Amino acid sequence: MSPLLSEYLGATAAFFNTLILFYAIGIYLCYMSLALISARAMAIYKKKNSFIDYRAILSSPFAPSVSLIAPAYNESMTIVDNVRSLLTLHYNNCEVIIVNDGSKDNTMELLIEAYELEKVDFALHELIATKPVRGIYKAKNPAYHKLVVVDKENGGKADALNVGINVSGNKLIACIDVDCVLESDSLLKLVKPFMEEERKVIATGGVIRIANSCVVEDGRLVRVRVPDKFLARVQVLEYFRAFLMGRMAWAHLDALLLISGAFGMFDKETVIRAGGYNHNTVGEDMELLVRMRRLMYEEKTPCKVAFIPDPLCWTEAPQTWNILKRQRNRWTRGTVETLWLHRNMIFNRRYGIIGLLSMPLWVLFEWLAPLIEFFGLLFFAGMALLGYVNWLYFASFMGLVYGFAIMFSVFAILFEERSYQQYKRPKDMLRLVATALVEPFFFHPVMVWTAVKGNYDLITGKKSWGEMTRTGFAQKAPAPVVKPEA
Amino acid sequence: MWWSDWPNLVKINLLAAMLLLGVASLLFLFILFSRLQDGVFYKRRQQQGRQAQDFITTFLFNAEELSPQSLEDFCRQHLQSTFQRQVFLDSLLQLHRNIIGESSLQLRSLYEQLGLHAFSKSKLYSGAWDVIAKGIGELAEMGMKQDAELIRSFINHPQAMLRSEVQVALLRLQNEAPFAFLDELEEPLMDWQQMQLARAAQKANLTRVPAFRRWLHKRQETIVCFSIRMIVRYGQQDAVRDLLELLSHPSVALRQEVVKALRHLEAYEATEHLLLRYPAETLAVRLEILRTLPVISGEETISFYAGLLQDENRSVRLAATKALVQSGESGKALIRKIKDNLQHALQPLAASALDPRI
Repeated sequence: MSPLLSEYLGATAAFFNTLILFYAIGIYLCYMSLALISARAMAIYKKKNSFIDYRAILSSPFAPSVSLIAPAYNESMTIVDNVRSLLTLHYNNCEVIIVNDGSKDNTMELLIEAYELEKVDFALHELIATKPVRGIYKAKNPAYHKLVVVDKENGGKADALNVGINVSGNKLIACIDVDCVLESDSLLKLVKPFMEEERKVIATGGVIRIANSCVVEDGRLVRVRVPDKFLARVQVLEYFRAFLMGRMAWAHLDALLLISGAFGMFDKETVIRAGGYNHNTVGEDMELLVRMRRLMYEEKTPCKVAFIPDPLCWTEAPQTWNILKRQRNRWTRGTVETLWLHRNMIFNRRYGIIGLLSMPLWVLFEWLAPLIEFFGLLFFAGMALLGYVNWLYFASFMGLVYGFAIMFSVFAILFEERSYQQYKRPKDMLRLVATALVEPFFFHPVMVWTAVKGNYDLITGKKSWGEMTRTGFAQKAPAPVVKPEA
Repeated sequence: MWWSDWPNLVKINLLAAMLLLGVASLLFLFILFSRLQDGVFYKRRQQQGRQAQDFITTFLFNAEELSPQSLEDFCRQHLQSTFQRQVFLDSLLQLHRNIIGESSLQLRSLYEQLGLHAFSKSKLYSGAWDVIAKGIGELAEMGMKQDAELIRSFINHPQAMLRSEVQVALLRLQNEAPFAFLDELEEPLMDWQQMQLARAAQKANLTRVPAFRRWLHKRQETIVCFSIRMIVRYGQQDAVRDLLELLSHPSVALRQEVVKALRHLEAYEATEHLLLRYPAETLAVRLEILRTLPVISGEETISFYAGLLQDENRSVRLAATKALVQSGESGKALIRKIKDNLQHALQPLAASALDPRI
């Protein structure tokens, strides 16, 4: 190799080393700032919440009415129990709308039989265009008067939610995944921001928790446990970081861009004016919120998106690598699609903090971070082959990355400990710390690869959701055998 | 040193990595420590709580066993620190919430004798809003009417949660004029606060409910809205005339609330006013009027609804159809006829309006 080329390669390697280092420091500073903002927001929330008696909403005629919309597709295994669980939520002014999205199994038949449903002459107002509705059903039994079941042709989750919005008769809509387990007071908590804010509240979201290995009885979570499987346990840490330390801070800054599709509440009028859920993206939850916020900015209407840090909704996380990869691939595509669709908001002063801070950071750290990491590793491999790697520098940089990853995860566990302490047993907490120690070696590289694959699939036009197989929740543990006293 | 030849960047990286791992270890130790501390604190609280309950039970049911000296001794031994006083006070408040009559008066006397009244009152001089709110809640629960004026001074505090505590406290303490604070309130009374107030009013079994029409002309719209809702809640029919005046209020939300109130009050005299207002109204208020008219009027409005069946807005057409169904037999017959004609453009709406399950 010529000395000139050699010098050039050496200089390139040094340049990229420095670039990556600064990029990493940027990410770390950003995450730490968000964590600190989150800590402050959490303290304020806890302080305010200590004066609140949510039962007041239950019997109050002042409480707004809510339509709970849950799309169902091939859910025959669990649909009857899940609907029963939704019907027992603590909220008086509430209707539960189940949208059967053209299931290929007997989901609809099971619902008709279990809840004594009959077709009604519902005059559907198509405020948002959707696939054809086959029929709308109500229960003959007055015990299920809150229940409305819509049978429609298959059109995907976004389409099913849009049908639910068209059917809904209330000002607030709560969109949920039918297989989630909700805390009984979850609706009360989500409704509160709509009632207490002077600014128009367009949406509220809550924390999603991992229910793997937890004990669920009659659709209610009766015992919280740390998941037995490593993969689900890592996701517990991931969710702590994302919800308690990330979204809480973004909401405090009034720059929240995402309310999880698993559980969120929206102002129906704003959703309809924004055009409802987008059928053409797999990230319909994020895209809708961005579009709603965009509409509010364009109309110059001051608004707020609230976030509730209480554990409100429990979901089963993927327990196998394949399903997890499919889920993350979809999340990546959804994020990139949304950022691309609304690219003219980025660095646009017209969209306030969303345009100037939130979206640029999503591009830099959510979209580009795994790509930079992946191509950085490729570059590193190339340099290593050519003998241009400073192994000492590489080791020290990896040490820095690992140190930050561990510190951030332990900080997230501390957050959970000082806020809600859902995992009461010391053993659970120790297992989470142990998981944090190995996560960077096993979990993180797969996530990077999945994100890269997600970008590739998006470019090559892949649109599918990918199948999500769930194993179901653990049943109530048998009562411990108590030995009779001697 | 063996590392002195290393580049500075490597040294910085390693130093930062060690620092981060050190912080992680400290955080981990802090988690362990805080768990331990929480356990100790919980046990102490439980123990103090049990002691407090024993003492209060003795005070209530075996008062003869307690001399003035024993009260002083208890104070000296068990109510020295803020923590001890707060735990005792929490037990006292919890008991007070669940009892009425003579025992309740006895608890109030104990509250004052043990200096807990002064303890609660001192919180009102704190700089933290949550401490003030806690103190106000305690004074209200123990019925310390003499402190109402002091509490009233926080009525326009910038912190909404504190204002809500003040409002509920004043409602409980000022039986003669429970809602008099509305005169002074300048801050918004949001739905959440309105709900708390309505609940507190219901629990307080008010003997003197004021005429809420008094606040229908306040500048703060949320107070007007609350007053309208309370007029409905307490069935204050004599406020209908004032409500009719509000039909020309500039706020759409308020006009909508007025129409709703007229419906709930079944104010038949509003029919003409609503018919007159209808053409100039927004869609939301029009729909509210169409929900209200069938409740407050009879068959005389049928022709009005029939005229709206051809309205360009689908929601109005549906509301008019429903109104016809509710307006007696002739209206119902008209809609039935439309329902039976499968070619009629309004057939789905008519079928829906006639279906009692919807």
